[in-house]
Order: sequence, then structure tokens, then C-alpha cells
Amino acid sequence: MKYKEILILLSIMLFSKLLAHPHLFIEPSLEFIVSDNSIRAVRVCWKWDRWWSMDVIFDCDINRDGYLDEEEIKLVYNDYFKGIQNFNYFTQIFIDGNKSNTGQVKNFTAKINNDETVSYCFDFAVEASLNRSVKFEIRFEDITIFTAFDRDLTIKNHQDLVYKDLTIGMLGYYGVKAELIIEKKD
Amino acid sequence: MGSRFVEILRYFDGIINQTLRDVVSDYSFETLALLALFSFAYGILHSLGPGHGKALVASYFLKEKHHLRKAVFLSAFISFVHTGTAIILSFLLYYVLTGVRGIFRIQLQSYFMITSGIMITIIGILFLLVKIFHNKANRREETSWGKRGFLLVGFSGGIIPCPVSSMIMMLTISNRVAHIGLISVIGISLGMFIVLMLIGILSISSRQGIMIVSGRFFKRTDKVSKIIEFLSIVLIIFIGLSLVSPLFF
Repeated sequence: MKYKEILILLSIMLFSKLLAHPHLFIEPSLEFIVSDNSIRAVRVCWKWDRWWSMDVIFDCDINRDGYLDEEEIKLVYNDYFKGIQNFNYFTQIFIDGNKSNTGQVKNFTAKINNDETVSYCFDFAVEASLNRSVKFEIRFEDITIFTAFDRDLTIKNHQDLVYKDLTIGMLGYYGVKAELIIEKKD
Repeated sequence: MGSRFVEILRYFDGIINQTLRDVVSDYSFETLALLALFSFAYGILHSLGPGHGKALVASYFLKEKHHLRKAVFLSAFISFVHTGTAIILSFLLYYVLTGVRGIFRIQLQSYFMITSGIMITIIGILFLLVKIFHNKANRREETSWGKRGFLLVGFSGGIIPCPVSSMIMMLTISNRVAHIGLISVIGISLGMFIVLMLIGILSISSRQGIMIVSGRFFKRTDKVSKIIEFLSIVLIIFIGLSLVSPLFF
């Protein structure tokens, strides 16, 4: 009996890190932006959980019309997004094994969904010629373990692209990563 | 396992949010009772993660022989401080610190974590110093420090406010139904109290177990006791340092 108690206690102490829990949740999705035979950007969309969304709506939907206009989106950007720049927006992109810069985002936008959640969409500029197949690896992870990314990462189809060898898996404690080879459709 | 745990947490997160909205928009006793129940279950679940004083409680009770009653008091104190900080912070954020919003609120959380880490490290070092310079002549001083140490461990372990409790309070304060938020937050706190108390009791029993088991192999169990004591103190210092680590990385 005493052995059992000691083992239980040791397990709790050893695995407590494994059970580290996040307080925010994101459902991520991806899209590739193509022009002039190259992938020019990776568009990321994050659908937030209801608590965070509630906070965003409460603080940023100033006129309470259930819609975020341009000024309100600026508020979302400044108060509810910009601060994670120090964490490279929880994103890492590798193109053919080379790390791409994720310190800057473009075209940030935010909207309130029908289920009263909030989604952010923004682009990371990349450069990948489609003259040959390109290997992409995209990772989402909050190293502070405060935010968890949903494992059901979705990648939107593109009419000019073919995705091959797509694998989506866990990253760290509560991150997600996608690996795929992208080719131009014949 | 981690993935399943997050799914369950997320499920409860969503269900508490929805139930809270239901109570706020269309009050009924049944929905309020459901909210309290979900909050209690969430409290149990979410305190299984780190940062809720679990490892601290375990180390503290492994350190030396304690009465089971102490596990109840320490767990209640940590839960009270943890939830109390969240409630006070919510009122401050809503009425006074109105400029602190969004990501900055999360940063505020990390400041509390670092403060807690500094306090736990100092307490650990003090435990170590008291132990090193302890002799029979100053046993009374050590007992007196032990009482203060007990309260300090409770305070430093609970000072990081519970983010979910803060969010619940913010929502209910803004809807002028803070009492509903309080019921939910008390539910979470009770869940946390149960988990911490069980870990405290488990630690106390484990310590006794280690002493009994070691007695079968060694004649000098007092040496084993000393080793456990020092290891526990080192663990407390390590817990403190790990909370402070964001300052350096």
C-alpha cells in the first residue's frame, strides 16, 4: 500500500509538466497565396475560443453591432494581437528546410463569427518559386503553454496547387505542425 | 494524453462559458446550480495542471512529518489566495486599470508568476538556511519559523490569479451580476482545494511510507529523513526558479 502511495505521488510530480494546461484555444487554418508562379504568402486564420472572443468583442466592438469595422479591427490588432509579435506570432515557417521570417505580418483582419467567436486572419510574406516542388513546414506553438492549438489544422485548397505527403501532427505540448510538398497543378 | 486533456479542458471551458451566459441572460436556480457543478469539476481538472501549487504542496509535506490536518489548511489557504487574487484583480481591471487589456492582461499574469517564483525561491532558501544552522538550542525559533513558513508557502503558491476565474468575474461584473461570478469562482476554488488536499494527504502518507520502507533496508532512518528533507527543500527552490525562468530566457 505504501509503495502504491509513493508511486502515485512520484507520478504526479513527474508528469505535472505533461499535464500543463492552456487557458486559450485556437483553431488554426492555412492558405497559400500565389501570384506569378510563386507562393508569395501564407495566410493564417485563427478561430479563438469563446472566452478570448468574448473579451475581444467586449473591448473592441465599440458600437455593439456584432461586426468589427476598420477602426475596431485596429483596436483588436493593437490590444489583442500585436503583443505576441515577441513570440513570432506563435508561428514558424520552413521552406525546403530554411526558416522563413515570421516576425512581421501583413493584411491583419478580424471578424466576429455567427457562433460569437472571433477569428483573426493575417499573412506571412514568403517566397517560393513553383518551378519545382517545394517543401513547407508550418508550426504553431505558444512556448509559454498558455495557448493550445487545435490538432485539426485545415489547409485550404488552391486551384493552382497540388498538396502531397501532407502530415499534421503534435508539436511540443499544445502546438501543431503541418508538413507538405506543394507542386503546381499541370 | 496531453491532447485528450486539452480536449476535456476545452470542453469544460466552453460549457462554463455557455452556462454562464445562460445564467446571465435568463436566470434560473437550476442553471446556476449547473454552473456551480461545472465550475467545481473544472476546478478539479484545471488544478491538475502545474502552477497551482501541487508540486509545492507535495514538496512541503514531504519535507518533514506533518499532521493530515495541515494538508487541509494549506490547501484551503492556497485555493483561497489563488481565487481571491483573481477576484481582486478582476475588480481592479474593470474599475481602475481600465487601460490594461487583451495581451497585456496575459502579461500581467506572467508578472504574478515571476513574483510567486521569487517568493518560493526565497522561502526555499530560508528553509535550507534554517535546516543547515539548526541545532537543539534554537528548536523553538525553528518551530516559529515553521508556522510563518507554512503561511508563506500558502501565499506564494496561490498568488498567481486563476485566469478563468478572472474572466468569469470580468463577465459578471460587466453585467452587474458579480454574485453569479462569485458562485462559479467558489466552485472552481473548491475543486482546486480537493485536488491540493488529496496531494497533501498523499505526500504525508508517502513520507510515512518511505520511512517504513527505508526502515527495512537501513538502520538509521533519521538519515533517510534528513535526505528527504533536503531533497524536498531543493525541489521547492527548483519550483521557484522554474517560475522565475521567463526572466532569463
